[in-house]
This record gives sequence, structure tokens and C-alpha cells, in this order.
Amino acid sequence: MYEVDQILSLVTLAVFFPVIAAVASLGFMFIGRLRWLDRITPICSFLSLLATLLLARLYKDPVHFGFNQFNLQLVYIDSLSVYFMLLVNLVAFVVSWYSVSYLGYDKLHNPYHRPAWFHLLLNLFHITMLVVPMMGNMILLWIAVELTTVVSTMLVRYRRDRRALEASWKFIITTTTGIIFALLGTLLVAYSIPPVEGAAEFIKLGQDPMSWSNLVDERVYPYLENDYLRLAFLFILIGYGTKAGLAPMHTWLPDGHGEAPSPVSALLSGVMLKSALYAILRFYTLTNLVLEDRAFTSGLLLLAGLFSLALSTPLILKHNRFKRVLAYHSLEHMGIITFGLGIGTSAALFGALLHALNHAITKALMFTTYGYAHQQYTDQVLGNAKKTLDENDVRGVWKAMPVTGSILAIGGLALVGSPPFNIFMSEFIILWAAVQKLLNLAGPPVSVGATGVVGGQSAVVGVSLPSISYGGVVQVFWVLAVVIFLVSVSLIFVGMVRHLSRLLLGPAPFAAIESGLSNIRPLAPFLVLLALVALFGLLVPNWFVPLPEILHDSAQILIEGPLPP
Amino acid sequence: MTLSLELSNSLNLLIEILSTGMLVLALGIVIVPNLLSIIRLYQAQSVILALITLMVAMVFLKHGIMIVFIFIPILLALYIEPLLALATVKEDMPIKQRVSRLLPWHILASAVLAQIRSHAQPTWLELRPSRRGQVFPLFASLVLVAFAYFIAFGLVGNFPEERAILPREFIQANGIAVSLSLVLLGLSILTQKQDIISQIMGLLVMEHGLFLFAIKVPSGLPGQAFPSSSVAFVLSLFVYIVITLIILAVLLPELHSRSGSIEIDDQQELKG
Repeated sequence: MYEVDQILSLVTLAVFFPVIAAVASLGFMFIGRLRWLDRITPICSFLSLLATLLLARLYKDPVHFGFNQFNLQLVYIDSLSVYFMLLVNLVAFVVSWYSVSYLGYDKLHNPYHRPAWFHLLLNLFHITMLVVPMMGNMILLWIAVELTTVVSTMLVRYRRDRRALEASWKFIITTTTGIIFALLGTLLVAYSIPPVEGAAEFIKLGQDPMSWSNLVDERVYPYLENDYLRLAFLFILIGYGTKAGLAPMHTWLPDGHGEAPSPVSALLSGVMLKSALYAILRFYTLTNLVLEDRAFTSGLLLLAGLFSLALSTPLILKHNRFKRVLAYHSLEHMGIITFGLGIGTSAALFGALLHALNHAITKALMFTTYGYAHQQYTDQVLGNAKKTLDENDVRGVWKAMPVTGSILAIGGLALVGSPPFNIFMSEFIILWAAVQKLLNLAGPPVSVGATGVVGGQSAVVGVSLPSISYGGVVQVFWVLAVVIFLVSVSLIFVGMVRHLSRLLLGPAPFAAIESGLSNIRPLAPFLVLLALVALFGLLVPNWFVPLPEILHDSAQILIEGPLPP
Repeated sequence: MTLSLELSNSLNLLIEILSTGMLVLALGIVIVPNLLSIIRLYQAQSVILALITLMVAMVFLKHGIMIVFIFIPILLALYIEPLLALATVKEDMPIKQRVSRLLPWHILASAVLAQIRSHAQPTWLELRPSRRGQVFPLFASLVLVAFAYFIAFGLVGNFPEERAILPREFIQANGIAVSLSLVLLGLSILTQKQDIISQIMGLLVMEHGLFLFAIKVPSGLPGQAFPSSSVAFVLSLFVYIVITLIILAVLLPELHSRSGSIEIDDQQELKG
């Protein structure tokens, strides 16, 4: 009980600090003296991150909390929840740290500059995304994801120019349409619960019938109706897949990420997509348990993942504004993660979950660093004009801002899977799992030989080939899948090199404003993210927080459901 | 108080007839080009949904809380027109001023509408009818409805060949089919119509489909005094509607004032 209280206290603290920051921001909207506001948000984010790190360190067994009189399970914490809470808080902290410098620039160039409003929305966004992995009830999970949509729409709208308004409109229409399908899927899960007469064990539980932990209980899920679950998962994938940026529902990505303020773009791409992914993961486990077979969910996820990856390739290769290019990279990486989920083996799931974190860190690095470079260019070229420099005019960053340019170069190469960085590590694990799957589908090797005469001497030349057993079509599919993966990733690498060349090389419009690390303070958030990009390329750290164990347990939860205590 | 089996069956039959009526109205929304007519059809649909909710609450009498749910479609029917009028005003009103126009003391929607009209002409009165025809959208919609029925009846399973009264499985299948049809038709409206108001109407029709689905969710386990699942679903829908309409009232006027239009073809600044 003491441990449960500890865990629940830490969960409460993790949410409490950004709530304090949100309340403070609301107060500052009326008070008007904003000197302390810039400090409150990053400090509260840091404290929330500390609480989550402690939670990850102390966590042992699942914990839940609810309101029994309403048969409602509010909170459910297991390894998967802890992992996603860590992901959210890590990125949210660094972004809130960067937002201090962003708002300084915003004050000069945005006629609709409202720092207290921005801080309020940023903190609300943080809270809603943090709450998603805590939700025990699937309907409350939907509400939490819907709330992230609402708050993020207001953040995309923040600059209130024509482009931002159009982007926020398209964003909310597309994601709201998607979220409706997600609710339809959740409703179908409710409909799959059988009439009371046929589920004696289910009655005995007498608890929240829509809580994930009850639905995946071995006394419950055998009674859920298969056809309803199949249809439910399809709608869940369409619905939450829209929010996760999977093709063909990805159309809001370039507009939303491209027009939002850079800190918001980092959160949208790094964290909000993963919040939607978390919802898909919960239904993925439930559906697999009910169907007693992974083929259905794997097939859908593989198709969605490969389609997203393949579609992102030409979109990244074409000439475009850099933030929109980064948005299409989100499509690519969500496709890779979904592909990993579709493979479904323990290693693939480990790789997919690790990739979610790696992508979050790297994408946050790119959006924040590029945003910083863009704001410096605007300051230098436009002075104090109340407008923003066109992204196409940001050139020669290596000359004008050598340190920032180097961070962008390293981050960009990391983003497209260059070794020895983090994305390469997780992509390699997923690719390796795919190849293992392909080899496991093959039967024992068959020897194919030929006898010939060479130089007067007979010789036998033989080669071993994998045999074509049942599922020849399946084997061909896996070969194609691996080929698509490799070709797409290679072409995307070329695309990023081209975009980085256009951004970093060529003449700069002003003399260099950075020399070495003499003015490191504004670059500190980016250097922290860069250090993580490098660290996770070498290992999955086990310092203070047992991250490998959390990842492994999360993968097992996705396969088996709740782990035994 | 529990209802007799005959009355319960009659109510179930009436619920399904009214649900099918909602489907017909949705088909009307798809093909009607005039925006004001679309809104009237939507209002009629909302009233029918309120009636259905009342009847469902009566059939499942132990969950009297559900009677409260009828206010959601009723409020939508009352306030959708002034809200859309507010959203399409051609000027950049401050948010406080926009929200204050919908405060509770303007109970009569007509009073709100008159006040808004006295301030600025709602744009939809100037909108020309859709240039696209009605045959293809109707045909496509009928295909979607057939698809929805196919899925719903496939889900529920086998049916007896002879029936003197409507069997429970047929009612359940029809209920699912209508709900699914409304969601798909709403999506069709959203994608086919040319203006932003119609996009919103498409979203609201989809919401009606989900509402219909949610109020009929198997209502909990014996011993549960509170139908937590159906209440949670309807409350989540309510949250969704409120938030979406607030954003509509905030976002659309700004977009309108910047782009000068609420037609979708005029919102193409972002490309690539």
C-alpha cells in the first residue's frame, strides 16, 4: 500500500506542477507583470520531469485509482504508461525551456504577441498530453486525446495570420473527423461486451467495464465478441491514426507543424503524435488478446506503416519550406514505428517503442534549433518589423551561425538514420526484426546444385536457398516490405541532405553572429537534446531510471497484456 | 416502474422508425444545395434525436439520468443557427464580444439571431447554391448506407426467418446500421460540400450518429446503479460538441476576415 501511495503521489505531482504553471499563466493574463512568468513554466516542467523520473525509478507493479461509486477507473499506471509519461515530460521540459527565448523574439515580430496566453496554452497542452497515458478508462482516454486536439488548435492559431488560421482550421477539421472514428471504435468495444447472462466472471468483477485493465483480464476478454473488436480496431486505427499522422489521414501534418510556433511544432511532432499512438497501442493489445491471433492487427499496421513510409518519400524529396519537410519526416517515422508494431515480435515492439522516444527527441531538436535559427535571421534581416522572414530566405546558416548550423546538420543526419545516432539504432532494430521474421517464415534451406567439368575435372557447384513453403505470398510480401523500407529510408536520406545543403550552404545575408560556444545560453536546450541524440545512439541508458527494463516490460505488455506481479 | 413487454417492443419499433427518419434527413442534407435548408434539416434531425433519447430513457427506465441527455440535441437545434450566424460575421469581433452574444440570458435563439443580424449580415444568406450536382452525391450516399447496413447486419449475425414482432437482433442491427450510416454520410457531407459551414454540418451529422450509438450502449452490469458507460460516452460527446462549436465561433470569423471567404476553394494558401 505504501508503494502504491508513493506511485500515486508521484503521478499527482507530475500533473500538479504544470497545473500550477497554467494557473499562474491565467493569473498573469490579468495581472500584467510578466517578469516571473518565463521562469515558472520551465521550472514547473522540470519538476514534473523529476517526479516522472522518480516514478520510473520506483515503479514495480501496476497501480490504479478510481471512483468505485461510479464504477470508473480514472488512473491506471503500468510500464507502458510510465514510458510515455517520461517521453512527454522530457520533450515538454526542453520545449518550455526554449520557449523563453522564442517569446522574446515573438515580442518583436508578432503583432498578436500574448505571452501569458501562450504560456497558458503550452501548459494546458503539456497537462493534456501527460494525462493521456494515465487514463485507465478508454472513454476518458478519448476525452484526453480530444482535449489535446482542442488546445493544440489554439496553439497553431497563435500567430493569427492568414496562414496560421488556415492551418488551424484544416488541423481541427481533419483531426476532429478522425477522433469521431476513434470514438466509434471505442463504442464498438462497449458493444462487444456480451449480455450479462453469458459472462458470469465479468459480473463478479463488477467494476468499470470500459477500463483497459478489466477488458484485458483473462476472465473477461474471452467473452468479448470477435467481429465487433475487428471493426473497432479498424476504426481506432483510422481515428487515432489521423491524430498520429498516419497516411492517408496525414494531410494536417505539414499545415499544423509548418505554421505553428516552433516550440509548438516540436510538441506536436515529438509528443502529440505519440499520445495518439499510445491509444492505438492499448487497443492493439486488447484486440490481439480477444482474437487470439495477431494476423489481423499486424496486417493493418504493416499496411498503414509501409504506406506512410512510402508516401513520405516523394513528399520529402520535393522542394519545400523546411518546417513542412520536417512535418513529412513525422509521417516517415510514424510509418516506421507502425511498421515495427506490425511486425509484432518482441524485438520489433522494443524497437518501435524506442523509436518513438528517439524520434521525439530528434524532432524536438530539429524544430527548436531551426526555429531559433529562423528567429535570428528574422531579427538580423527584418530588424524590429512586425513580421516574420520567409523560410525560403533562411540560407547559409553555417556561415551566419556556425554552432547552430552544426547542430542542425548533426540533427538532420540523425533524423534520417545516420549512425552513430539514436534513430539509426531503433531503425536498425526494427529492420533486423523484419529480416528475422522473413527468415523465420522460410523453411529449412534447400540445396540446389549443378555438376560440371572445369579444366578436365568435375566439380559440383551448389547453393542453399530458403524453401518456398506455405505463405509464399507472405514471404514475398516481407521481402517487398524490407525492400520498401530500405529504399525509402535511403531516398529520404538523400532528400534531407539536399534540404540541409540548401539551408546551411551558400551565402549568408549577414556576418556571423556566433563564434564558438561563447554565447551558449540560448543554445543550451538544443545541446541537451543533441547529447541525448548521441547518447541513445550508443546505448539505452540504465542510469537512475531502468529504461531498458521499462522498454522490455512495455513490449511484453503489448504482447501479453498486464504482466504478472 | 417497469414497462410491459408490449409497450417496450412498441417503443423499440418506434425508435427504429425514427432512427431511419434521421437517416432520410441526412440524405436530404447531402443533396440539398441551399445552406439554410441544410440547417433546417439538421434541426429536424436534432428534434427527432431528442425524441429517440426520451424513448430510450423510457425503455431503460432504471437509468432515468438519460432523460437529461435530451437537452443536448434540443440545445443544438435551438442554437445552431445563431452560432453559425455569429461564426460567419464578416468582421473580426473580439472574442469576449462574440461569446457574450451566446450567454444564457439570450434564451430565445431568435432573439440572439435578430441581434446578430442587426449587427452584421450573416454570410450564408449571400452564398450561392453549390455548383455540383445532386445525382452523384445521392448515389454515393446510398452506396455508403448500403455498406453500413451490410456491416451492421454482418456484425449482429443470424436472424430468424419468421417474426411476428421485431426481434431484438434486427433492432440492434438496424440501430448500428443507422448510426454508422449517419457517420459515413456526415463524412460525405464534409468532403463534398464547398463551404466551411457545410463542413461543420457534416461534423455535426457525424456527431448525431455517435450520439444515437452511445445512448443505446448496453447499459452496464446488474447491481450498477449508475450507467457509467453510456453516461461517459454521451458526456464525452457533449464535451466534443461544446469545444468544437466554441472553436468554430472563435476561429471561423478570424479566418473569414483574413481570407474574405468561407468557401473551401478560397482557403488554399497552404500547399505542398
